[in-house]
Amino acid sequence: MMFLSRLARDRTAVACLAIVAVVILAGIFADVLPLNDPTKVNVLAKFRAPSAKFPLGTDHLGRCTLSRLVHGIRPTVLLSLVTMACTLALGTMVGLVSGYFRGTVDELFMRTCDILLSFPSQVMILAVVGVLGPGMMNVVLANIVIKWAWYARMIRSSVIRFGDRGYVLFSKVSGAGTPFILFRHILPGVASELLVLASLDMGWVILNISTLSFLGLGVQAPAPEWGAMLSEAKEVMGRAPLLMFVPGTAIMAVVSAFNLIGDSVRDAMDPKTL
Amino acid sequence: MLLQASDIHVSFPEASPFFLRRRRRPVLKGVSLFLREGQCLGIVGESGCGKSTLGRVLIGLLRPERGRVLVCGEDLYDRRGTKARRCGSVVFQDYTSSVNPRFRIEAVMNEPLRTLEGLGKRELRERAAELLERVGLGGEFLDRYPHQLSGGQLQRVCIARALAGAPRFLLLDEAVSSLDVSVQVQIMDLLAELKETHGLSYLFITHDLEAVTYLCDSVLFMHDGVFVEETGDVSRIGDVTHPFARRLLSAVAGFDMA
Amino acid sequence: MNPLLRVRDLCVSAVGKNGRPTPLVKNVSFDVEEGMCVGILGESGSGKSLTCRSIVGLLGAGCSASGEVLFQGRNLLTARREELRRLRGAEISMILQNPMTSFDPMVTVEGHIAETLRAHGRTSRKDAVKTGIAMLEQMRIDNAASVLGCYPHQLSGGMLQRVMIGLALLFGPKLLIADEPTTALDSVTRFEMMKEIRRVRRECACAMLFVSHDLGVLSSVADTVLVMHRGEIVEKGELRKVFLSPKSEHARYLMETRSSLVRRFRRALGSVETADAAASF
Repeated sequence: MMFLSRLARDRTAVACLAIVAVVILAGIFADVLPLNDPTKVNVLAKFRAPSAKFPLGTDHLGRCTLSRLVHGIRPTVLLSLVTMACTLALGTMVGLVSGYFRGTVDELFMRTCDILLSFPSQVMILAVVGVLGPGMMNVVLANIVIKWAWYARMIRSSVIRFGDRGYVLFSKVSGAGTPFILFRHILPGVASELLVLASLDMGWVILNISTLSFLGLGVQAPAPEWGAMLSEAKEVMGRAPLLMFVPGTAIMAVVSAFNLIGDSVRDAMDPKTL
Repeated sequence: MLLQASDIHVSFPEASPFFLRRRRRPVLKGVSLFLREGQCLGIVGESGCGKSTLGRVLIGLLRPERGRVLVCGEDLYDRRGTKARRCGSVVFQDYTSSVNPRFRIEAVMNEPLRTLEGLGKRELRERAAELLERVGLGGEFLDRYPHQLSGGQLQRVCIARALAGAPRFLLLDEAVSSLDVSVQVQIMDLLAELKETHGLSYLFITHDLEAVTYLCDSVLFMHDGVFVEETGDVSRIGDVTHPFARRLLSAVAGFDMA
Repeated sequence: MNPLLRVRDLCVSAVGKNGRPTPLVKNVSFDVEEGMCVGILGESGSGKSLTCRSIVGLLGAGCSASGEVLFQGRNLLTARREELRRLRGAEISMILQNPMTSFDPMVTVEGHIAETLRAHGRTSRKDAVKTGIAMLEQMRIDNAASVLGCYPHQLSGGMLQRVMIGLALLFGPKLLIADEPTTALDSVTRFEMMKEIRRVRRECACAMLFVSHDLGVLSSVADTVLVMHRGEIVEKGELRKVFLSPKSEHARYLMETRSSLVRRFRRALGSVETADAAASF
């Protein structure tokens, strides 16, 4: 595929993809890796500097920071990926149906999107979590419920544009079924835009989940999560600044990596250079 | 009678400042035509006269507000009619967007074949190669991508694809207008040949009178949503009387070297 | 007398994906005398548009030109960007193929005129309106004042093409380059457009370089014609000579295909009133 080979030539993209891949793998295999117990409390060992036993030191409860960092990948990064996948799935389905069939269905969906999009997303997410109660699944759900509308909108306008192409018209004339047209003609065309939107937005989702955990609405103690770690570290910023740097840098690194991947994907898809 | 269209009316909504009172702009104002077996009918008019819209109505892409389209005896817009849909096919003007740029030519050719009968992979490839041969392209084109073909070659692929379902008539919607003149003549020669060998009928929509006289045997002149003149015999096209038709003729005639 | 435009050994090449340059235009040489119209005939891919763009310095990224393009003695290929910019629009103007996409859809006709004027130092709004109305009336556009306030999508293709010609002629250029201006138009509009271009030629006596793949259009406006094929000039000479007795193989091929198209049409025509058409030709 032309797009993959062009992406492979972009060194920034390859480096960022490598970073993200390492992070994801570490998160998946966190239990198998030789790490300390992330929840083991040892008050006598609190605020230790980095050493052989605790490579990144310990926090205010004597728990290994490195271990909490790696175990925190699951809620922070992996759940963000799940959120993004579900949002994309829901938004794409609605966008496809809305853009292809038009008419009353389109009006209904778009008015729903209008309503959802007229509220500021952060406030809405807080409201939904407030109603459902704190917890990771509720945070994920809130994100999906709010974000799908934006994707549906984007996908719909793309689908409308593709729907007028000669090859789609010919398929209709030659009697091809609607599923064929949607999945073989329109979806692949739309997929490239989708990919760009998704990779650029990943960073936002990660930040969102971390922020909610920072505010105490996401992950509940003692489970490790980068935003929650930041929240605990802010109390002891003066005494043990490392506790703040570690999760902060991790969030920044992963979000930046996704943003850079998004930029590279968009460049690789650019029709002018295609 | 292969195709019979009676009293077709189509109008498009106009952007209007009043939200509730949507004005509609009539594009086709009571158009009727029929196409016989073996006929090549040209529909000529300037841009904006509604001929492309008429084309869409006649192949089933746009349901008219009033009027009926009968193809091979069946109502084209009747949901249960499947024979009508198979009767005709279409070749568009813009060959680059008529083909999915991500498909290889083999996949492009397979699409209409697939939806018609359940054939195995090898048979599909053989059929595709045979169709390409009919339009003068070799089997090596099957593995290429659309952007690797020239305009003329791509349009030939579109013609071959249109023939895949064994249609009785082809709608050519400005099918040669985007090609160089020498390629236009080649494609029209090909179309004339295919007409003889396959017993096809053509509906040739264009603004180019020279192309019409080259390929068609009868001509309908269209202006502002209605047919204004008809010539049953293209060799007597010089006898038209309607002022618009004469204007079109003199505009084209004025460009030739004596 | 020195020709207005003298092109010698113009070569244009593009750098391909593998880094090697592909020659697109090879050793093109021709002259354009003052007040004369040179037509360039060729099919798609023959290099005719690239030749025109390299003259005004509008080649895209990845293309490079070499050779000599002397406009009134100055070599345009080696001129500085600012010098070229001042020439464009004022002494050398260009009209393009598709009028619908050549205008900024968010800017009115008046805005386009003002932009062109501003690029050459005239910035007053009253000046723009006055010049605009005078130009539109000169191009035989009725209701000049209301057309000034229209956006491109509100005007027809033919009218936009006239506005484009008017914009190109604002500063009375010495050379007008027309890159397939009638290709996107239908037969009747094309005829009107060529009438307009012929009138423009008579009235402003500028030299023209007219590119087209349509023999009929060229035959109504060009004095001499160059036939291009695969980046090279395969034949050049006076219009009637090239059309009636082409020497090169490709030119013969083009004339033959065109004449087979025309022959049938002429036969079918019989007794069409071509008086006014013949008179203007």
